[in-house]
Amino acid sequence: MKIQKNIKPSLRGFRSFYVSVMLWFVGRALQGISHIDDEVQKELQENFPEGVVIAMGVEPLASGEVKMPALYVKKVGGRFLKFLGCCPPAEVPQLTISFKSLAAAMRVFTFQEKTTEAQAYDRFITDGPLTPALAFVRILNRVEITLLPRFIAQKAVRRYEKLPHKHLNRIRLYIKTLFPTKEVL
Amino acid sequence: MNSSSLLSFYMGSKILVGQNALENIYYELNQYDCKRPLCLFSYENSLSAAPLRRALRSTPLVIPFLGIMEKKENISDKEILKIFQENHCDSLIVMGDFNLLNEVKKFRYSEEISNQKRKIPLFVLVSPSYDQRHHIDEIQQENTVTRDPKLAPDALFIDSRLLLKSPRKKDWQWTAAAALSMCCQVLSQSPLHPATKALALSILPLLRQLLKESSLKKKLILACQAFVLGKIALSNLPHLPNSITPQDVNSEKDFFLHHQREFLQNLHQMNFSQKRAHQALHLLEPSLLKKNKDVESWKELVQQISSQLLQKKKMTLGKKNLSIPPYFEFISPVHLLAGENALETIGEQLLLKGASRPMILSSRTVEKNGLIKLIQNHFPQKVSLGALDTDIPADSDIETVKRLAKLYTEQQCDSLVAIGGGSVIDTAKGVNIAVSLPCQDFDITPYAGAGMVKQPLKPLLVAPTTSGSGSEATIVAVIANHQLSQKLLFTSPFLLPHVAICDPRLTYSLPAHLTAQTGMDALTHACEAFFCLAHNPISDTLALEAIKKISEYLAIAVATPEDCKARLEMSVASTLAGVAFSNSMVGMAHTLGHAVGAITQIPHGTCMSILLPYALAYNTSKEPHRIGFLLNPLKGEKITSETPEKQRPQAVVNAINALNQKLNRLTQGKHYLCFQEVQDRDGKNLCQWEQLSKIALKSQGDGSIFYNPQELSYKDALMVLEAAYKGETLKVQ
Repeated sequence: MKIQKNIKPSLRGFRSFYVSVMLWFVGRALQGISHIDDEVQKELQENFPEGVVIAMGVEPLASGEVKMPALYVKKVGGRFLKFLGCCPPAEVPQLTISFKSLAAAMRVFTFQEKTTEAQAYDRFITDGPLTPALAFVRILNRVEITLLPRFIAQKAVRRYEKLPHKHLNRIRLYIKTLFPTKEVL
Repeated sequence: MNSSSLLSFYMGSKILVGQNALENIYYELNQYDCKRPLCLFSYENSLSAAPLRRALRSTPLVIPFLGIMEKKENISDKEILKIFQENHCDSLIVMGDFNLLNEVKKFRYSEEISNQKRKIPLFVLVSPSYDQRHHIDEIQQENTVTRDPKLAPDALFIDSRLLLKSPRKKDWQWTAAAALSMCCQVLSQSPLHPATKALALSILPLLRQLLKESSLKKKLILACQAFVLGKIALSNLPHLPNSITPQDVNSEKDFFLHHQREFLQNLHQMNFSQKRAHQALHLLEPSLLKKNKDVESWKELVQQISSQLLQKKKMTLGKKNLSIPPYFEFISPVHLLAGENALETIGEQLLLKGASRPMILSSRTVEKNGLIKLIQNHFPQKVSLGALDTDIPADSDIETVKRLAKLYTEQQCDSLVAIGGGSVIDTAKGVNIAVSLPCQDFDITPYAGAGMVKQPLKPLLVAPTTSGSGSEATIVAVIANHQLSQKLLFTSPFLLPHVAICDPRLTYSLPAHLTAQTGMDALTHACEAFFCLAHNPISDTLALEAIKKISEYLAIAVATPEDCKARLEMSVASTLAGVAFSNSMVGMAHTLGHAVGAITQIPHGTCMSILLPYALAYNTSKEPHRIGFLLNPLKGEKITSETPEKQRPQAVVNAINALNQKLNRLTQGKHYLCFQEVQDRDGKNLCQWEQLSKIALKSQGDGSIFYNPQELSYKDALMVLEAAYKGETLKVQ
C-alpha cells in the first residue's frame, strides 16, 4: 500500500482574499480612528507602551513558508496608531492576536460571531501582555460601532454603546480609511 | 459518595465539537510540535475525504494522505509502521472504521513505537460509525482485549461536514440510543466518581436538544457527541459490563437493538435517577421505536414503564433546555482519584506512570502531620524517595525552581509529587519544565507565555491541601521573577498534572475561616463556569455537581473540621469546579477579585465570597435562565419547582447571601460579608473607599473580563465595587 498523494497547502481562495481585504480595511480604520476618537486616544495613552507593534491575523503568523492574512499596527506619537501594512515588518510584534484558522477568521469578519464569542469558543489566541490586548479589543469594538450600521454592529459587539457624534465620526472615519492623508500615514 | 473506596476518573482525549472543528487541526498539531502528520481514512469514509482534504489544504503543512479505496482492503499495523517511517511522519490523523482504528492503535501500542521517547500524537475524526464495537482505550488482538489509558487518542474531532458525508448519517437514532443506553448503564453503577456521573449526565441535555433539532447536521453532531461521552463515561467504570461488547452480535443494527433492550432493563433497575431517565426516554421514545421490527411490544413495555413513572411527581424544573454552544473544546487529561485512603496509592500510581524515584514537594504542616511518612510507608518495593523539600515560599519564584531542579537532577529523580496549596503545585509545574525540557542553568523563562511548552513532561502527581484553588486541574502556572519584579505566566496543556489526588486527611488542619473562604472560591469557579460565555455541556454538568456538593457540605466542613465525608466531598467538589472552569473560564467575580486582591491584599477567597452574589445579579439581564437554573443544585428540586422561573435568579442570589451569613456565624465573623469589614491581623481595614476607582481601572486589564456575559465597563465595575464595599444589594434586572 502506498501513499496516494501529498496534500499541499492551498491558501489562495475566496476566504483568504476576503479576510485579507477585511484585515487591510480594519488596519486602515484603526489608524483612522486613533485620529478622531478621544476615547481611543485615551486607551492608547494609558495602556500601550510607545512603539509597540501589534499583529492580528491567521495562524501561523510568523511562518516563512506561507503567507497568511495579517495586519500590523504600531503606536506612534503617544496616542496614535500607524498601519504598517499586511506584510511582517522589521520589528517583532510584542502583541499578537491570531485566529486559529481561516474559517474562524471568516466567522468573525462576516459578523456571524461576536469578538467575545469567538474568544469564548477558542477561535483565536492572544500572545503578549494582557492589558494592551484587552484595550485593543475595546478599540476594535469602537471601530465596529463607528463604521457599521447598528444592526450589523450589534451582531459584532457584546453591548452596543451610543457614541457621541457617531454619524459625523462615521463619515470622517470612512474618509480617513479609504483616502488617508499624509498626516495620517 | 462512598469515602472508603478509591474512586477514579480519567479522560485521555481532548474533544473538539462543532462547526469548523476540523479547521483547528493545524493548531492542535502545532501544540504537539507536529510538522508532518500521516492522514489515513477507510473505505467507508471515502465520501468524507473531500471536506477532509479541503480542511487539510488550509493548513500550511504538506500531509501524506492514504485512503483505503476498496471495500475489502485492509491495512495492518506493520504496513502503517512502514508507511509512517518511509514518509518521515510524526503524528496520525485517522478517520476510520473499527478495523482501521484498531490497527492504528496496535501500531501505536507496538514495542517499536511505545518504547520511543516521544509519543506519537493521534487525532481521530469521529464518524457516526466511530469505534462502536469497542472502547476508546481498548484494542483487540487475536481474541484478546487490552485496555490501557495510553491507547486513548489525543484529540477527537466531531465536525458536522465530515458527519454529513458519511453513508451512515441516517443512523443518528442508533447512535443516540446507544449513547442513552450507556448513560443509563453508567448511572446505574455505584460507587461512581462524581466526574464520571457528571459526564454521563451531560448526555441527557444533548439528547433532549437532538429531538428538538430539525436539521440532520445538528442531530448528527449531537448524537456523535453524546456517543463519545457515553464511551468515555463507560470506560471509567471499574468493571465494564460484558454486555457492552457482545460477542454474539453479527450486525451493527443488532448491536444497537441490544443497547435499547439494556436501556429499558436498566430503567427498571434504576431507582436514584428514574426521573431523569424517564424524561430522556419520554423524549427519545418516538425515535427509538421507529426502527424496531416488533414495534407494538416495545411500545407496550415503554408505556408500562412510563405510566409507573408518571405516577411520581412530574418534572417541574422548566421546559427550556440549557443552550449548547455551536463549537466547544473540552480537555481534562488529569487522572482524578478520590477516597479516604487515596494518599496511600501514590506509590502505585507512580509505578503506573513508569516512575520509581519521586521528588516530593510539600509544606511543613503536611510533614508535621506525618502524611509524608505515611505515603513513604506505603511505597511499593520498587519505589524509593528521591528527594523531599518542604521549604517552598508562599509565592513560587524562579530561584526556588532552579534550586529544586538542581536537587532533582543531583538525586536522579524521575517524577514529582506536589502536596500543598497553589504555590507548591505551581512550583512543581515550574520544576517539571526545568527538568523535562532543555534549559540553560534550569532557567525556565524562555518557556513563559501561551503554548510554549510543546512536549509531555515528567510524571507529576498532585494532592491539594486546600479545597478551592482548583490548580490541580488547570493548565496554568504563575512563577515570579523577583529580580525583574515580574510574574511569569506559563500556559500549556502539558502543564496539567498527570494525577490529582483528593484525600480528606490533607484538609483536616485547614482553619474554619480558610475552609469557608476556599470553599466559596470553589463555588465561584463552579457558578462562573456555568453562566459565563465559554460554557459547554460537559463543564455545565461538572459545575452543577460541584455546586450541589458545596452547598451541602461547605457549612458542615466549617462547623466540624474532622468530618471525613464533608472534607472529601469539598475536596472533590473543588477539583470538579477546577476541571469545569479550566475549560469554560471565569467571569467578572474574578475580574474584580483579582484587582481587589492586587491593590488591597484581601485574600482571594474573601473577594470571591463577597463578589459572587454581585456577579450573579449583574449578569442576570443577559443570562436569566442559566443563573436561575443554579437554584436547583443550591436548594434542591422541591424549592426550585415551587419558585416561578422569573424569580429564580433573585432566589439564587439570596441563597448565596444566606450561605455567606451562615459561614459568617460559624467562623465568629471571620468570614466577611462586605469589603469595608475586612481587616488584617492588627484590626486595620484592608480596603478603603478611595481605592475603589483604582481597583475598577485595574479590573479593565484582567483576562477574565472577556468571558463575562455582560459587558463590564469601568463605570459598571465601579458601581459593583461600591455596592460590594458597603454590602448593599445590587438589584437583579
